Order: sequence, then structure tokens, then C-alpha cells
Amino acid sequence: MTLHDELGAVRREVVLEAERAAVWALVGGPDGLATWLADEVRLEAVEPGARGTVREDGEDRALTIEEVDPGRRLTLSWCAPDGDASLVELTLDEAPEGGTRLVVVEIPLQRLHAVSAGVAARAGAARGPRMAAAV
Amino acid sequence: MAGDPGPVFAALADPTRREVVRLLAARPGLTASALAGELPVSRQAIAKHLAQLRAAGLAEAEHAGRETRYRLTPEPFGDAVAWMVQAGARWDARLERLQAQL
Repeated sequence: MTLHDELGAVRREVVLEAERAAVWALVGGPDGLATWLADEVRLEAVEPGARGTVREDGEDRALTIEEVDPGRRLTLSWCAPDGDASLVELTLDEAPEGGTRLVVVEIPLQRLHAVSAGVAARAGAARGPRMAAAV
Repeated sequence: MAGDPGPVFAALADPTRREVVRLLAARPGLTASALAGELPVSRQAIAKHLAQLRAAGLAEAEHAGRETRYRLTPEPFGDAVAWMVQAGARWDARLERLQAQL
């Protein structure tokens, strides 16, 4: 069981019949994203810290670009007006059967925080007084 | 125990259990055998999944004669499932649009 499963995340995986660069062209810039991510994408740039809005089903979501690894990975967070924020990670790699594999994971941030806190607590307990003394 | 969605998410982390939930949502009162007939897993496996869904408070068993029928218990469901179903459906639509661009 992966961390993502524990979090109750949504995960989708598709193999696209295109070179990774061609897929990244649709992921790594506002114009590309505008063709598929939502009904409307208002975003200046795909770079860490950039903020924008996407409109979907008549509802605006505030979006922030979190991390960009050009050609490989885009992480963003977004939040609908009455919803909880979630983190979205899009990862591209070469599919063994040819083409490009795109993996999408969306994790509700609330869950992410709860699990991080749990992991931190367990790590602290595992360290214990002896480890702390050794450090 | 409202408020802690942890067990609910854990119970729903498994794709087969999500299928079971979908089937029970569509047709309340299915038996384990009926569910096994719909899914590519054994009746024993279905029984285990149902036990986990019951432990998470997501499903309940109802004895009717020699049969045990299962249905969802709505309370703990709310947010966790609604979110996963909705967010998942949105990604399916987005990825279809993306594929159409290539």
C-alpha cells in the first residue's frame, strides 16, 4: 500500500501515444493547460509560486503552481470556493510499451497534513531518548 | 464517530472495495455471492472486503432468511466518497480532453 492509497487520493494513469515533449507542451504552459485542464484557465506562467484561476462547471478554483520539473513533473494546488484544497501532481515518463505515461494524483491537503503529522509523531517516537542522546 | 475520515479513506483505498461500494450504492441489498458474480474476485475475497467496509462503518449486513444482504450506511460516507468520486470523474474528463489534443 502506497502513501497515496492511505491518503484516499485519486490516481489516474494513461499512456499517451506521443513523445514526452509533446505531452509536456500541453502541461508545462498556460496555453497548453487551457486546452484541456478546465473550461477556462487564467494563469500567467507555469512556474513555482504562480497563481491563477481555473473555471470548471461554472465554478472558479484558485490555483497555485507549486513545483515544476520541466518535461517531467508539475505540482499544483487548487481550491474551489466552498471546497477543501488539494494537491495535484502530474508526472510524465516514457512508457515501456512506447509513448508517454502520464500519472495524475490528487490528494486532499487536509489528509496530507494529517498523515504528515502522524509520520512525524512516529519518527519522533522511534528516535527515542537514546537516539536523541547520541545526536 | 463523525469527524475522523481516516478509516473511511483506508477502506476506500482499495479499488475492489470501491467497486463494491459502487455496486451497493446502485443496488442496495446485494449478497456477497451476487457481488462476486459482478467482480473478478472470489466470494471469499468479497467477504473480506465487506468485513473491512463494515469495520469502517461504511456497510451493514442484514440477515434475511439464509441470506445476508449488504447495504451502505450513509453517515460516514459523505465527504470522503463524494470527493473521490467527483474528483476522479473530473480527471477522467480532463484526461480525455488532453488525449484529444495529441
